[in-house]
Amino acid sequence: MVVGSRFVGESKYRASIMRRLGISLLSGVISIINRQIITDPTSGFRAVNRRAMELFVADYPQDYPEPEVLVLVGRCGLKIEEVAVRIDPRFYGESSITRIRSAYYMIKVLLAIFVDIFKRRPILKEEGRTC
Amino acid sequence: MLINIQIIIGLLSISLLLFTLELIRKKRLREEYSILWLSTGLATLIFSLAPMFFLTNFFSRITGLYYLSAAVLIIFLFLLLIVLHFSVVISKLTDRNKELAQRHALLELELRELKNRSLSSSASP
Repeated sequence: MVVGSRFVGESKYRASIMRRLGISLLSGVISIINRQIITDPTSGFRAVNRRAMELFVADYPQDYPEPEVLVLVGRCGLKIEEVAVRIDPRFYGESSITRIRSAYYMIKVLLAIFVDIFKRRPILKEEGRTC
Repeated sequence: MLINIQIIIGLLSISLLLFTLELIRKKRLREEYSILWLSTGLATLIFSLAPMFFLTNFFSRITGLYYLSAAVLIIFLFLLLIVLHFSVVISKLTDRNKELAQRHALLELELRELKNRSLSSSASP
């Protein structure tokens, strides 16, 4: 899986303080679990190969899946690579994550990641084996 | 007397916490709803650890709770609210489900008519 990261290399992207705090907390937790430094855990700008896609068919989290997917992919022994992407600041519309939702976001995602550690590996449907 | 109740409530709340986590692990409970139960378990666990704090200190001066039975009544009302909340959620889901089935049936009918029409139009000339 290749993730487009906003924090690799030189990037002009500047998030608000709260957002950066949340991202760095998640990135710390996931980096420890995956034993690999993940700079941008909430980025949804991703590309995957067939093996990862088969895993996602068997098991894909709901409700803010991006950070959790990193743990899932790491547990299945697939490689994760981050590449620099240039993302411009939002110029139209509002973020779907409001102030109350961001608290729910953090609690939900951290809880899900915590529970994921104790989860059994998902079974790939086509091959009938664990990933 | 109180220590027995403390132990019982403490064990119950710990098993509630573990059971909730197990349900999430098996994907039978969404994290969304589990947060409610985890906080309930945590609150009762704290209560079982230090019930005197809630029964005698400032907390009871505010709420007028001097007896354990009054606290139990509060917990009962809280659980009643949760159950009511779930009834509302179930009702909403039932309505949506019905609407979805009806729309699906209409689309199926339209599709069948379209197929028939294209079949007959291609067969007639």
